[in-house]
Parts: sequence; structure tokens; C-alpha cells
Amino acid sequence: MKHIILIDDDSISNFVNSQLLLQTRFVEDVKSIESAEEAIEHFEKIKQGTEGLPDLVLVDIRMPVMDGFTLAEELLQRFPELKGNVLFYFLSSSLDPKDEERSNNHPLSSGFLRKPLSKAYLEQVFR
Amino acid sequence: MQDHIHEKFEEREDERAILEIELLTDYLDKFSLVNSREELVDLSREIFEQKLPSQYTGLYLWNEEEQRLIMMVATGFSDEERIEAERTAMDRHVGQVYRSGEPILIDDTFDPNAVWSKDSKRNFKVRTRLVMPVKSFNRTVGVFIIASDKPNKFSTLEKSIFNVICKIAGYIYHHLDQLEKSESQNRKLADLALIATKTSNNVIIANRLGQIEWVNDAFIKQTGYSMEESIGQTPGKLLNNSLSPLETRIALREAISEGKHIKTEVTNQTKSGQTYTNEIDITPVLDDDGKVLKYISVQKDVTEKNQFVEELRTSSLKLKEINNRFETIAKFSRIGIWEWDVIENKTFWSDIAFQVFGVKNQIHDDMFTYWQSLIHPDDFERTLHSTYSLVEGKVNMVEAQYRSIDEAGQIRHLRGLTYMERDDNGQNLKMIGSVVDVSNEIIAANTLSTSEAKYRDIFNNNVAGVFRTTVEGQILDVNKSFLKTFGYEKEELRSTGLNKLYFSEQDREVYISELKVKGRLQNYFLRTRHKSGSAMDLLINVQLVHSDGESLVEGTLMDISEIRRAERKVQSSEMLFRGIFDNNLAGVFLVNSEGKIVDGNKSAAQILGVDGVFNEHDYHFSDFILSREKWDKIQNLIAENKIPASFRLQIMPLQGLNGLDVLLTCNQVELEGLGNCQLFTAIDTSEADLLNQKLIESEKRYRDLFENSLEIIQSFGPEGNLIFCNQKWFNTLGYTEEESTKMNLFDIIVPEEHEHCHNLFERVLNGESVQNIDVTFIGKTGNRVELNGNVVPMLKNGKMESTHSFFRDVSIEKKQKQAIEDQRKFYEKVLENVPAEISILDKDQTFLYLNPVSIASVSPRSNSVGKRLYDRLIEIGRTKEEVEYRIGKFKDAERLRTVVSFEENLQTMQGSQKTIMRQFFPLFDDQCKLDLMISVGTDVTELEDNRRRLLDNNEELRKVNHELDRFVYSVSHDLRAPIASVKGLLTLMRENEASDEVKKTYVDMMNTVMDRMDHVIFEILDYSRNSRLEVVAEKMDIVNLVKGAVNTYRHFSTKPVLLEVEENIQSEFYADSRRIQSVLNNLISNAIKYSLKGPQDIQLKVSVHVNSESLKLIISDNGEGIRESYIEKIFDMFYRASNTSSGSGLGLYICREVLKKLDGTISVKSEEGKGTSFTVMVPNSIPVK
Repeated sequence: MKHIILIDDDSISNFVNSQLLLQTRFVEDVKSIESAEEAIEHFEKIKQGTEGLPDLVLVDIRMPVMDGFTLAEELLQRFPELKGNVLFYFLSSSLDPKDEERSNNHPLSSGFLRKPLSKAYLEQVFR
Repeated sequence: MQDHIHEKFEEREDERAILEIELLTDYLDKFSLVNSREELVDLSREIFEQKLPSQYTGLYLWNEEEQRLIMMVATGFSDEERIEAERTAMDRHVGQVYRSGEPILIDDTFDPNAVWSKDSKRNFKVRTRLVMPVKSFNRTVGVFIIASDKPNKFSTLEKSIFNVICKIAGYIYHHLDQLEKSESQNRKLADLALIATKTSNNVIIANRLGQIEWVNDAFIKQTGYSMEESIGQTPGKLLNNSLSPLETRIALREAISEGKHIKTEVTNQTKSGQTYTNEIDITPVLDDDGKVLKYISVQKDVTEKNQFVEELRTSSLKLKEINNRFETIAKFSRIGIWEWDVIENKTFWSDIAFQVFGVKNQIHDDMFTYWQSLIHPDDFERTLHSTYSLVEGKVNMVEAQYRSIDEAGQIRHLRGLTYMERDDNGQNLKMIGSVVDVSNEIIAANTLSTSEAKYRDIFNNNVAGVFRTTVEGQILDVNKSFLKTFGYEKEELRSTGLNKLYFSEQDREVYISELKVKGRLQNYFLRTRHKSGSAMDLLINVQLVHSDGESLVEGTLMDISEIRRAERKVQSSEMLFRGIFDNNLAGVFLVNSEGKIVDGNKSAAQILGVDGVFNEHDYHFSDFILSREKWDKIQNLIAENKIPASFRLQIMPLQGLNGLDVLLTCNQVELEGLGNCQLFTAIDTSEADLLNQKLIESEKRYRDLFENSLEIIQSFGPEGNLIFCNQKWFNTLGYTEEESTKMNLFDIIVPEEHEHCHNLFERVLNGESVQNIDVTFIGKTGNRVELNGNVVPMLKNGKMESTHSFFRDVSIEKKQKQAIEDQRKFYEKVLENVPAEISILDKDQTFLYLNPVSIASVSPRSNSVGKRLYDRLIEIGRTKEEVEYRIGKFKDAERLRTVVSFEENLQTMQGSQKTIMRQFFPLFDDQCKLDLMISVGTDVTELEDNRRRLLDNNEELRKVNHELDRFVYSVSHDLRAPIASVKGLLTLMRENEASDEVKKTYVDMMNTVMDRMDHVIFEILDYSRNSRLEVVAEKMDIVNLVKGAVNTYRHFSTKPVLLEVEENIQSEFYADSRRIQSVLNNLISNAIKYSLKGPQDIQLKVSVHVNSESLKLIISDNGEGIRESYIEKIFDMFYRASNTSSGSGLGLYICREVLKKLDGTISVKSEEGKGTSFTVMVPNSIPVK
């Protein structure tokens, strides 16, 4: 679990989370992406081999234009090989149980992480 | 175990049923091993104590019919405390459950005397009791009382546990019942065994092969064989029955091989070789399939029987003796005896029997037919019928009275008593009868009835004058004979009195004074006058009666003028004399100077009790006279020629026992050849006295009936004049007696009925009886009386004399009828007007009644009444399914014996949908059979519609709720996101040793985040304000506001903002300024925030058009624009179409909501990469001046 992609439209949130991730022992690099469109472009590059395959993907649910669930759906459609090979977590500060439920039920999903993240929380989840 | 049950039950519904069955089978197995009552109660106790949750009391098996506690388990009461337990547990609720078979829940919360359990483990105050029926084969046999200290109801789970226990209890009861039954059967068997052992008869029980299985003591004693020696042997062989006749032995063998009952006599040998004869009775015992299980042989020693036969012979001799004696008695009592042996067809008739029938003493071959030939044809059928009923076994004895014709052709009246002797099977054996001649009795009875009829006749024709008057001679009442005797009408006598009836004033004075002195005059001779003036001689019996302090005269009288006239004629005409003399009813006789009777007529001979030929005998008149002294005086008077008009003497007839009261007159006559003679007339008044007495009595009787009758009785003459009426008449109509005498029929009939009554009266006068007529009378005070009754014509000698009417007052009856009718009308009115379909059907589903609503313009009501439910519904166009559904409900109500409610959706004749709530109310008769079914249908279409509307509203509410939910979650997200970022930044700051510069970056970030949060909170406030606050219109300057907003949000971008305003203001503008401000702020801040990346300036073009109607505001920018596919969504809540800035997604949503509230509109045009233009229209709310 060395290479991580973080997708969140909130740049500050992205910054904070990538710092936190980098502070855990098992993370080597974090790629921050600020919109779903960019994320798709990035995965396209991974497919083409110009970018490396991440070990873990964290996706914010509430993003403008294309939200996290739509993105996950899009990724599964375009890159079905992701399923099973990459840990894929949904990320949100939402307290709506429906968001959590949807996250857990998505075929690509490995789980749901609630903001704010903390080192202790991350270590607990990824141990 | 208890917990286990709970867990299990909570899991699933259907597992409960499985558990129930498991529990049941578990315990049923155990119960099947129970052999005594004690064991059963112990096992029950064990189960119930284990199964019952500790807060409940246990099982009472209470038998309501016997009113006793059969068993109690786990109640805490000991057996000694049973009565206390009964009192505690049993109250009216138990009986209710027992009868209904349905459980009930009793709330004892407020009952200070509520049941306490005696069990130390279960000592608590009862708050709730559940009384459940314990059923065994669908019959309630007990109750299960569960008492709980919980005030609440029992849960479904608990109830189902109780159910299991109840079922087990049912089985327990069944088991207990079986146990009791088998115990009593065993007792019965034991009794039988005891009888078999102890009886002096010799008893053998053999198996189906005839081998001995058991013998009793009597057998051992008689035969000398022991039980051991006998078992396994056949009785025939063991006892050597070869001495019995061959046919007996064959019969025995056959009976045993065929399993038949046999009764015969066998001769056996004992062990020691002695022979004895037994009467043997072998009965096979069959199993349910009719196969022989065992034989039971009972033998009776008939050695003693011979003695009995001897006794029988002796007694039969005795019987013969008795018979002879009886015969003798029968002979003297003239009772004929006959006997017919049905089996052998032998007949016996005693001598007297022949004599009674008056026929020759001779037995015929077929005496029955012979007897029939003697019966009088008129009585034949009746007599034979009663005899046959005897032969057919319908009766044991018949008594018949019939006539027979004897040999001389004379009719005899006979009375017969016939008895049929039968054997035990009812077979006729012997017919025995007695017969007596009752002709004399019958004739006597007939005579009696004839004379009775005669007397009645006399009364009816009122031969005697009957009268009732005052002493002063005022008439109170007289009968018709009286009037006829005198030739007056009643009215004449009423007004004038009686005094003119006397022959002379002197006669009257003598008569009255004598009456006053004696109080009673018997056979008083009074001279009176007919209306025509002619004198009449009357014989009067009269008495003074005291009534209400007044003296009245009551009496009867008879005209004897004829007799007197005859006497007088005797004096004058010898020629006439003889004829009248002989034919006169009075006795007439001549006595010569020597006192000898020389001649007399037949009547005289009768009175004196002699034969009619006087001159051949030497009768002296004085010899016949009992009252000698009086006679002497009279003779003196005669000698002095002062002969009294009449005198009374007691005469003793020659042939007779009693003296007669005879009224005599005496006249001196000189006859040729006889010289001076005395001519006597004599009337025997003894009989007349009696008759008079009777007449008075019966008159009284009839009068009482007449006067006390509850009916109004009146009699009118052909002219409508009132002849008489009774007391009731006076009471009812209020007229006095005097007024009544002048009344006419039509005076008392109400005028409107005159015509009708006139017709009726005509009909009656023509001899017709009119029955059951209604008439209204009017009384003196104008009171109206409604009457019902009959009017009959009274004829005399074929001529109409009067009418008699008998009326009953029916006013009250009519009022009651009217009240009932009113009530009926009231109910009918209610039924007819109640806004529900009401119909009544009988048990065969036929309509008896339908109210107008239930017809509902379908068909005339009369067409439906009498029709069956099925036929009618089909006829009015209901589908077969609808009809069957309703009939099904009808049957449900009948079967369940309760109200059944259901809903029907129907198509009305007008084509709209209707929902009817229908209820069937069954009514049952005394035999608990369905009597009537009341169907009530209520139109609940509106209710149903409301219910649907409510459901729709609910759906909407659910939607709103859902939206609200989403809103709350989104808001919380938008608020939490900045917090999460701040927290993260703080962690970073705390945990890392960051440089001041880095820390400054962190703080700047925090600031940004907090700004965003602030913005979100503002927007939420905006949103909530819009939805919450009232719309307030005030004067606004839009252009200024636009300019202000642009200045406020200028700093959102680092680039310069150029504003160009195009205005066209034709009117003042009024609107809700806060809301308009909010819209402007959103649109302008958006235009600045979402500018294109690049160096060019932000250009805003705002166009403001105001007229008296509205504001039209167009805000255009040269920003990034909106992708076409997102345009639809931009006004949605929380929708964000741009990645550029992180707004909350509420801004445009709020704009749309605000404009909705202001009755305005908002629309958008946009081109990605070029710019966006929003157009806002708001109505101008200029206040009306």
C-alpha cells in the first residue's frame, strides 16, 4: 500500500488528507486529483502505462459535476480490471447513512471512510 | 427450558406452530403412560409448574355443568382449600367463557379483592386475568385462568404459550374422563363378577369353542367338579349330557356352532354320578364384528320346578273356584261375560251374555261375525272401530256403549267393557269382555232430558205470567205472558200502574193485606180484569221481597178463567157439562147429599187416585180429605150457603203415598135423579208450586245474565222503538230508564252512520242476522262509543217481532289499534327516510322488506319483495361474483351468529363508482335458528375518497420528509467538510514541526475554509428565511442594489469587474427587498466567481426594465458558461455544475425558491466558454392607493 490516489474537489481537504497519509508508515506517495474528469484522464494514463497503478484510491463522494459514485461507475465501466486489484474507498464528511450504504454496496468499493481522517483511523483501517 | 421457548418464539412465526406440536406430542406421550388419577394430577402439576412463567397462576379445570372443580394445578391451593379455591377462581367470567368458548381478558387492576395466589413462589397481587376455555374434542370442559401481576395485556407470545397449555389441559381432561369411565366400567365388571359368583344359578363361561374358562361356586357345588377340573373341558362331555333327549343335544350343538341363543332343559350327571335336570340358557357374547367371543351359560336346577308345578295346579283349582264364584256373581248382576282365545279361535259366552243380547243360547262357529250381526246399524261402525283398535294393539281396553237388536226386534242399550290379554311381546292372546243391558238407564236419562226440554219450552214460551211490582202497584217488570194475560202493552201498565187490573178495589185490598200479613201467598185465587173489561180468575203465587230497604212484590200467575167458566157453565148447561166435564183439566166431581161421589171426570179420578168409574164404587169424598178440620168448617159454610169462592184442602189419593194440595171450588147443584149435589172442581197444585218455584229461579238466572252482561244488549221493535236494554246500555249511553222508554234506534246512532245502519236494520227486519258490524253510538252527553257486534231478528209466529243486538265496546281496542298503527307508521317513516339501505330477508334469503334507499331507483319495491337475494341482485345487474360474495357473507352471519360487515364496490346506474359498507345482522328465534336477516348498507364512497386523499397526502408528506432528510444531511455535510479540513490542518500543525511560513499557509487555508462555512451558513439562513418569512412589499431601487452587489462581490476575483447597466424605469418598483437582494447577490456573485480563466476582464451587463406591472432583470456575464447537459439541474438543491469554485450548491436553488414565493420566474441561457445570462421577472407590487 504504497501508492495512493486521492480524488476530492476540495483542495484544502486534499492537502490535509495527503499530508496525513504521507505521515503513516505505509504510504510512499499520494497523487491528489481535484475533479472526476481529471481522475478519469489519470486512469486512462495508467491504462496506457504512462502512470503507475495505485494500491489505494480514495474518492470523495460529493464533488461538483460528477460525484464520487458516478465516477466509480464510470471507472468500473472503462477499467473493469480495477476490480479486485485496487483498494477503492469512498470518502466523505457526510453523516447520511445512505451514503455509507451506497459506498459499501458498490462493486468496486472496499469501504467507506468518514472525514476527518486521522493517522490513528487510517492505521486502524489499513492494518 | 423457559428461556428456550422464548428464544424460539421470537425467531419466527411458523416455528411457533412447530414448537406447539412438539410440546404437545412430548406430553401426550407421557400422558398415555398414566394409569391413575393421582399420577395424572402429578404429571399435570409437573408440566404446569415447569411451563408456567412464575408470575402466572395455574390451571383450574372447572366443570360448569356440575359446578365443581375437577382439578387444579399450580395454583398454590391445597386440596383441603379446594372450596376456597373454587370461590376465588370462579366468578361470572368463568361461566361466560364456558358458554361462549372464547377467551376473555379481565382487568382486575381496580378490584381490591382481586385474586391472590396462595403459592409462596407466586405470591402477588393480581392485576389481569386471562380466562381461556379448555376444550376437549371441541367441547369446553374447563377453564384455564392465568393471572398476572402485570397490568398490561398479555403479549401474543404469551398467549400462544397458554394456548399450548390449554391444549394439553384439554387432553388431560379427556384422559381424566377416559380414566373415570374405565374405572366405572371396571366397577361394573366387578359387580357382575360378584353376581356371577354368588348367584345360586350355575354359571359357566366358555370360549368360542365351547371350552370352559370359568365356573362359579354354584356350579362347583352342584356338579362336584372343581374349577381346575372343569377348565378346558366341554360342558357336554364333562357332565355327560347323554341322558338328555337326542334332539336337545343336537339343538345345543347347533346353537353353539352358529353362535345363537338357546334356552332348553338338559339332564346331566354330577361327578358322583347323580343325574339332575337343569334349565339351561346359553348366550353368546359377540364382539363388534358379530363374532362370538365367549358363551355364558346359566343353568337353573328345575328339580324344584316340579314343586312349583304342583303349586300351580293347586292355585289353578283355586282359580276355578274363584271363577265359579265370579260366574255366580255375574249371573246375578246380569253381567254377560265372553271370552275369545285369539290363538285357538275358541269362543265362550256366558248364559247371561246371551240373555243380555236377548238371543238364543247357542255358540256359533264365528261368534265375532254373529256379534256384529246383533249390533244396531247406526252404531255398527263406531263399535267395530273401537274393537279393532283393541285388536291392533293400540289400546288394552275399550269401553263402548251401543245398541243391539234382540230376537224380538227390540232395541237394547248395551254397555261393554273389553280387555285384550297380551304376552310380553305384545302378541294378542285372549280377548275378554263383559256386557250389561243399560236400556233402563238410557230410557230414564232420555225421559229426564225430555222433561228438561219441556221445562225449557215452558219457560221459553213464558206460559206463566211473571211480575215484579211495588206494593203500591207500580210495575217494575213483567213478562210477556203477564201482558198477554191482561191484554195490555207494557207501556200502558208502566204509566197507569196495576190497580186497574183488579176486578174490584175490595179484591185488591184483601189480596194486598193478606200478602202483607203472610209475606207469601201460595196458590192464591184472585179475581182480575182483562183489558177488554172481562173478569179473569187467576191463580197467584206471590211473595214480598225486601231489597234495598224497599218492599217489592214478586210472583207468577196463571189464568184459570177457563176452569171457572167451565164450572159456571156446568150450572147452566147439562149438555155442555159433560163435554167440558170430561175434558176439563181440572178434576170435576159430584158429591150427593150423603157425601158419596157419584160422578167425576178423568182428572178427578187422577187426583183422587181411583179408577174412573165412580158409580160402581162407594167413594166418600170425606174419606179422601186429610185436613179434616178445615173441611168441617167448609161444610158448615156450605150448609149455610156461604160457599167460599175456592178453598184448599189436602187430599190423600187412594193409590198414592203423598197427600196433594188441591184447590177446590164448590157449587150446590140440583141434578135430575141425583137431587141436591155439590159440584166440586179440584186442581192439584203441588206440581204447579214446584214449577213456579223453578221458573222464578231460572228467570232470575237469565235476568242476572242479561243485566250483568258486559255486552250492550238491546232490543228494538220494527219501528225502531226500544223494547228493552240492559244495565250496560244505561251505563254506557248515560240515559235514564225513563228516557230510554222514548228512545228510537236512530237517536243513539251517530248521524253519519244513519244511512248505513238503516240498511242494516232493513236487512234484519227481513229476517237476516248481521254479524260483526261496526257502529258508533252517541250517548246522552254526546260521547261517542265505538261498538262491534251482531244483530239478530226475533220472530214470533213467523212475524218480525223485534231485533236483538249484542254489542261490545271497542273504543279502547280501536285506540290501541290506532296506537299500534301509529307506531308502525313511525318506524316505517324512519326506515323509509334513513339514509342507508335497509332490507330484511328471511332465512331462505327472500326479501321481506326493502326501504327506498335500497331500491335506489332500480325497480319498484313490490317487485323485489318476495324475491330471493340471488335473483334480485342478478336482476339489477350485479355480477355473479358480487352476488356470490354477498351470499357468502349472509351465510357467514348465519353461521357465526354475529354481525358481519364488509365493503362492496359497485357501479351505480349513473356509471360512477360507489363504495357501500354493508352489514348483516342475523336475528334468531327461540330455537336458535335464523329467523330474520337485517341488511344495512351505508354509502361510504365519500369516506373512501377521503381515505384515498389522505393516503395521497401521506405520500406527498413522505416525499417532503425525504427531501427534508436529504437537506439536513447535505447541510451537515457542507458544515462538516470545513470542520474536517480545519481539524486536519490543526493535526498537521500540532504534530509536525512546521516552519512559521508553513504554519501561515495552514492558517490561511483555515481562513478560506471558515469563509466557505460562513457562506454556507448564510445561504442556509437565506433559504430558511425565504421559506419562513412573510412577503413584505417595499419600494426598491434595483439599479442601486445591482451596483451595491457588484461592489460587494468584486473581491471574489482578482480580475477587474466592468459593469454596464441598461435601465428603463417607467414606474416605482415595489417588492420584498430582502428576497430580491438575495437573488441579486447570488446571481452577481456567481457571475464573478465563475469567470473564465484567463486575463480578460469580467464584463457584467445588467438590464433593468420596470413598469407598473413588473420588473424584468437580465444579468449577463462573459464567464465559463454552463455545459448544456447540466443546465436542467443547476436550480436543483445542492447541485454544483462547476469544478471551479466550491460553492454549496444552494445559491440558484434559493433563487428559484424565492421567485416562486414572489410569483416571479427565473430562466437561464448559457454557452460553455462564452458566458451566461439569467433573466428574472418579478411582479410589481405597487400598493393600491
